[in-house]
Amino acid sequence: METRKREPSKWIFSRELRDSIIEEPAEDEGRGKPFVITPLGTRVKRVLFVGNVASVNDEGTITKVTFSDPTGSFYLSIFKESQFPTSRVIPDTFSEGQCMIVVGRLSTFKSQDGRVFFNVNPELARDSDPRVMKYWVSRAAHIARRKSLAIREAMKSESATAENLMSLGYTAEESECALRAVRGYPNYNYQQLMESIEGSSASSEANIEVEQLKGQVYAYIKENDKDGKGCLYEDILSFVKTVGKDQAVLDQVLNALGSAGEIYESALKRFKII
Amino acid sequence: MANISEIKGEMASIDLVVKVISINQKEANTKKGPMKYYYGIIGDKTGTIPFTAWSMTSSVRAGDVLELKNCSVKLYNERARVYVESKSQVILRPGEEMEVKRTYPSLKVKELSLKDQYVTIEGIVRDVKERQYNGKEKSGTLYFGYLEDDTGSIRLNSFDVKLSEGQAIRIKGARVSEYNNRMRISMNEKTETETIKLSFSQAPKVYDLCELDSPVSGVTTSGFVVFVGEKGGLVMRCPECRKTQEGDECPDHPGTALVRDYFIFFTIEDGTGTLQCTAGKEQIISMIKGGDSGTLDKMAAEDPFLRDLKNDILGQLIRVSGEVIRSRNGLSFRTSSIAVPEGEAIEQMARAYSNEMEV
Ligand SMILES: [Zn+2]
Repeated sequence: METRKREPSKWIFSRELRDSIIEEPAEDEGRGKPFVITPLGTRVKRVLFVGNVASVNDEGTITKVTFSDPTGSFYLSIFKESQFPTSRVIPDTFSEGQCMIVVGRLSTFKSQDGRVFFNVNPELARDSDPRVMKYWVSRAAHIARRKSLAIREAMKSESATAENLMSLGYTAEESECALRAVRGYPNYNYQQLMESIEGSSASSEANIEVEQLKGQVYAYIKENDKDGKGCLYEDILSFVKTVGKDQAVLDQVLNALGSAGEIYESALKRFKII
Repeated sequence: MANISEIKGEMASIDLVVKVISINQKEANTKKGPMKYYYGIIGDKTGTIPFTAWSMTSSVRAGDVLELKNCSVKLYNERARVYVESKSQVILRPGEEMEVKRTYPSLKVKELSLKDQYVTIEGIVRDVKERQYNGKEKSGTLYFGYLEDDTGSIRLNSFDVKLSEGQAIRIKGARVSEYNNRMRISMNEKTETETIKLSFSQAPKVYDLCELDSPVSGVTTSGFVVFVGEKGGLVMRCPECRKTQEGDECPDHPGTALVRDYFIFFTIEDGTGTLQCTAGKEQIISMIKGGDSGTLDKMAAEDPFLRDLKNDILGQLIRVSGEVIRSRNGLSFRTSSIAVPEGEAIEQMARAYSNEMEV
């Protein structure tokens, strides 16, 4: 078994990373990259996320890939002449619109106007699917939510300790994060961050439901339009119910298919494919 | 003055006269910097309870009788604990003696650790076998098997007390120990046991990786495969005793043809921690899409070993069941089954968090 200890990846949203302003020097005398301390107190040098490729830009020696997660963007840099010749992550791995899981190490750089940016150097990137993304989003939101609650507790008392927080049911990691957060980010607006994260997990959940149902509804309309007059709304609805979805989702799906020009309302409450 | 047996849940202020059963010192990082505190077990004639003391004179030793005034009781890990704080008063009663009734914390299998040497535990007895033992002081019959509850299962040794398959039992004062990197509990004729009615739900709890902090079997967890070890390969195994064999045959089962078995190492992560796992042939097959033993044999012929399989499982979300083992390099996980969740199963994993939105 590998004996060298691998720094575990943290599951954080891009917004939590973007708002980070603290770096902790590496312990191993500068050999490794420094840890970033995020507003939620997460001590991170490696991230894992599932997101969609928003853009791929070939800039010569380097390919820059932007990933969108529900709160913002992660930026990846892939060097053509990789310092890691064994690295399996090559620019060709990425194409726009793809849903992927990425594990990578963070690097930090300052722009000329002094702003700090975070880059992810991918160690692992592979195709994933929207359901897995939904899982990642809800779990990462759960992790962030627990940390923000621990921070709220830590703020209540001047002498809060990790043990106090653990006695309230927080894990050792959550408690340490909360103490780091109150020390490092006394004036941070947690409400904004959490609204962005909670909103994202709710909306991405709804969107994924719609995305998943779109294909099924389209196929149903195509196959069941026997007389050429289109499918009755009630029939589509009862089909949708057999796959466990409700009317509200169906309405969103019909809207989405309609505005994408894939179906149209051939008569009142009758739908036909174009 | 209150008795320990009267403590139920949280209390803002309580006065006790107790004997210190054990006391340890630790340092914690607080916002004001490092602070020393004490923790351990205190008891009286009605029972025992853990304590944490933020203010306590350093002369207190195990065996001392103390009067504690204006302490509080809070829940820690769902168990009541006495807190001696700056508002509290600690009065030593030198020379005084006190009888203490030993009570044991009631724990689930997953909560067992060497921190609690004696516990009260309940579960269902599984896979019971028996053999004779010859000790220095006595010999008799050892009944051994597993005790299973809704959090996991653990090896159970019972000296001279017969256990039967499927029996639901409560053991008061079971001894917790670690043997061959695994946790086990033992009981004998002096241990108080009772047969109980017990049922628990079938769906296994899926643990966060940070929760798997002691050797325990029968647990389920999940995560993304983030690393697959270069090592791994082929071993020959005796089908009778499942032991791996270096030679041509098993010394205990000569004449039995050895079978090929494969193994790989990999690491999973779930955002709360990391876990080194091992998988054998059967578990590897369950990670190959539509795969069977023949597919695996073909893949195993690749150089390097199982190259395509390794590429295939990297980045994959999996759910694993098995056993946490303590080794020289820390904890590792021996998988007994692996599932690659798809479709509805993934949605279910996601839904576990969707009802907890903050209001
Ligand atoms: Zn054998």
